[in-house]
Amino acid sequence: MSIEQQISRKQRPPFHDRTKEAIEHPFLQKAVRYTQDRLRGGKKRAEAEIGNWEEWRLKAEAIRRHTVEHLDVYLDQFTTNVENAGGTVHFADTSQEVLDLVTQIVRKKEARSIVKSKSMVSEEVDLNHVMEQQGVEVVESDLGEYIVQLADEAPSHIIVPAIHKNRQEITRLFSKEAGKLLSEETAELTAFARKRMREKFLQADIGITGCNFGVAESGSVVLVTNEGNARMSTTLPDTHIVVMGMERIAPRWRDLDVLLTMLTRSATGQKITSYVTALTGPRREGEADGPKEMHVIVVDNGRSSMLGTGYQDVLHCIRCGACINVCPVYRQIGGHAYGGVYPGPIGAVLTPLLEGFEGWTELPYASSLCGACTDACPVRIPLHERLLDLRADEVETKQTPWSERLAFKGFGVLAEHPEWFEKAAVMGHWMGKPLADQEGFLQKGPGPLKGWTDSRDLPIPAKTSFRKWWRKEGKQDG
Amino acid sequence: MQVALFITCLSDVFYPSVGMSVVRVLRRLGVEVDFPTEQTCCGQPAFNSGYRQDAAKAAKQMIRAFEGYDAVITPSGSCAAMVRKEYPHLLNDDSEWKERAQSLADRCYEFSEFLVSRLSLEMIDARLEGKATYHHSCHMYRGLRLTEPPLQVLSQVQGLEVVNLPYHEDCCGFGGTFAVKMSEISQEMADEKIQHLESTEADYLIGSDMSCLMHLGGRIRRKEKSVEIMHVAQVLDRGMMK
Amino acid sequence: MVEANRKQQFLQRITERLNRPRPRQVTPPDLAPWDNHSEETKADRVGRFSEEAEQAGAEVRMVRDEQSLRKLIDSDLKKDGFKKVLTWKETAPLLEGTEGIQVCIWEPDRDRMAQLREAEQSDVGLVRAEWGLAFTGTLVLWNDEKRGRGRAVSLLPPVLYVVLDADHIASRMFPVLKKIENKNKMVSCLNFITGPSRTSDIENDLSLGVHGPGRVQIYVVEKAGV
Repeated sequence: MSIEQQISRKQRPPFHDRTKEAIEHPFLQKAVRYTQDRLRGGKKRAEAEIGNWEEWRLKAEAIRRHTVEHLDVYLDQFTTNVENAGGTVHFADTSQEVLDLVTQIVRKKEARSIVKSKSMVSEEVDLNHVMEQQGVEVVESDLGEYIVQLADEAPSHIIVPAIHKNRQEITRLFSKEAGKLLSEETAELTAFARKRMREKFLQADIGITGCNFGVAESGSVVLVTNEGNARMSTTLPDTHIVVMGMERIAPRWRDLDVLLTMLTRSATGQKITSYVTALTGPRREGEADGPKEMHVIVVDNGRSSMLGTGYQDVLHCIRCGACINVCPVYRQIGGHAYGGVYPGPIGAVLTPLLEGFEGWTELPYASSLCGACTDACPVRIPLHERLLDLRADEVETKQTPWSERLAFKGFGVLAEHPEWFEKAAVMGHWMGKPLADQEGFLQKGPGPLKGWTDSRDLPIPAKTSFRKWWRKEGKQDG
Repeated sequence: MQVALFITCLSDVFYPSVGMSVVRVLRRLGVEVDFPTEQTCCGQPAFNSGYRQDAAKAAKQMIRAFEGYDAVITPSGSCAAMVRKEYPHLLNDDSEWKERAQSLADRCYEFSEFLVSRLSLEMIDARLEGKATYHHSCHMYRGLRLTEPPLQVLSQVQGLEVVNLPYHEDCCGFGGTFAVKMSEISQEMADEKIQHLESTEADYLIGSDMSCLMHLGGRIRRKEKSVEIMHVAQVLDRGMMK
Repeated sequence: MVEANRKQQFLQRITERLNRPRPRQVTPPDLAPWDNHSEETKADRVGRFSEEAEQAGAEVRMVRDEQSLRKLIDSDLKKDGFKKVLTWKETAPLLEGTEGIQVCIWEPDRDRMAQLREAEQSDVGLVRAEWGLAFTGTLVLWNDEKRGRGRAVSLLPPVLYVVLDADHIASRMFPVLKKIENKNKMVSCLNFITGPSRTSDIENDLSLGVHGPGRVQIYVVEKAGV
């Protein structure tokens, strides 16, 4: 069984196994690097084109900070306005409550089929599988999500879900679905998806979407896509269910302009996506299409635990994926190795915060702290600092191994005693010497050094340390 | 001008020659160098692993060691970033220590940065024949935004052709304990970096952080490649001796 | 109606977490316009719009007035060999006199499924944009009550023709959004459309028309007059 199939969160293999499998994957790295380069390049061009990018970042950050700081006020306003426009609002504390609410609507509507437009929150609650268990057909309508769904996998990037799939695999999946052999031409594959999905859209009882932004002042749900699948999901079916993270709010339309600009430029480098759709309530009198009923489910699912803590700014995230596109770790291992719904730096921060450390202790360490994510973030979330904070939390709550804790205790003591520090270095030289080659390098380190020497030679401490040289010669030379 | 050398534990123990080069270069440029022997490690390994209390012990030791010097110079962008960016936060809860931490942060310079900002580049008279490429460490590049100084310094070296390293803004995969905890990923990152390095056909890989260079150099050695690894200070030292 | 208690309970938790009483009124951060385009002329905006729309993959045609618009649409439909065109009520007059092509008009009162099927089978959809946005080459479409504007008309047919009044091209989203902001009630469906439907989900290979129209043709009318 491949890692992708096991990824259903209950039976996730350990982090290092996931990493290993990703690295050994025949073309994952090539595919990820290629896509990362395309998206990074696009973002850089978009930044240059807009000119004062840093000022835009500051504005965007200010809007997000203000919104989250007053989330109770704006959520109140947003949901009241959704209701005024004829929508129905539901609140869900947990993923189970989301599932219960969707199930209730599905039953009430006697729905047999659902079309879905990409939504990360619905991934959090594993909505598709639960619906399918109840005998309801769910079809993902974003092409990437559709590919991933046919393969029974999870998305491995928040905006490019099938980044890890190559043309041959996609052709195989589509051919199986079509019941005939399709060519590997992009145009033919896309045409198949269009045709297949058209029927699904026309038959679907319910359309489910996420929500990129909810505009508080009007109660509008704003959806951003390039394919137009969110429009399809909200134009054809009679019922529209919005599953939204409770922090996805923009106070006013003018704030939306800034946030949208930052979202699309940061995600793909586009000035704007092909489609931005704002829905305010269900269809109105004199309209023949659009949903008759609109349900908005506002989801907490662990988010409120970040409020009022040092992690509150993680809720500023607008889910553009820019941090993923610059991450050198993601570049090597792709998204599935992270194991959670959200990969990359934002995933390494968000997953333990939403779900707790159990099962996720490695994630905050799955970063070289290079800070590229922090620089890339359009709303200036200091992601690598939050990773450091999570590590400190792990230490404080004793999630780290006792041997490591002991080692750093020892480190603290040495750091306060220069003479012991020097003795330790000398000891290191003499202990290393018998194991080293002629030039003083270890090829196979003992114990904890193994992690280093598995892939790299390690010099042993020099016979004459700098401080020894300084005492003997360096000081006098001056 | 009297300055203190902040050697870094890594150079002290593994690369003493880098420290010697720093001392020789600074003296030739007329700077009086002292080495306060009370210094140990900046505490970054503990800090980056989440052990803030243990890191704070190291930070206090360093602050004590360097009190009274006008400038503290270190041949490491990463350790300079630790002192400048993290110390004041780390000791935030204690107003006295916070002030002392800020004072050290304000006086701490990375080696190339010091040459460029406090001395005159024209004073550098060095020569080294060959082709080189420069590896930016993340903490110096993004943490301190020191992208130009090392390149400015190297541009003074006659005979040395410095070519751009493709993807130079990408991390090499060292990342402190990351190199050991996530060694498989770290190795992949190093290998990609080495690919880019090879594409430049450089004779020298020059950097300002021996930690990255220990990692890349160790991988290069394991792969039996022949690129010489040098710190900026070593380039100047070698070039000035001739 | 959501159960009032449930909502208050949800909001109350947020208030408590934020560790302060719930404010009665809040003032969003100042977003004083940082790029002022007031010196732009209409010609600047039209030029920029065309450039950006084409960069996004749309085709832009400039026409002098409604009369030449009708002629151009008629000849384009014939040139493209289209047999069936779907349009909004308000844009239907533009197709009067078009011969040999079946014209379907979206009717709010007709059967919904039948109309959606019809939309699905049309070769082209014809609509009018409320606004154009110069900086991104974006079309702004509104659907609202009692207008007979089907959302599907701009979505289901494989080709989209859009009429845009040159006087209705703004620099960017902000000024248009401000107008929306000032309306008492938001329209039910607002669409910002920029170029054709696109995807790069198969090995980064760009492909048009996966869900929405794969071709977008924009007619910018100098002097509108319907």
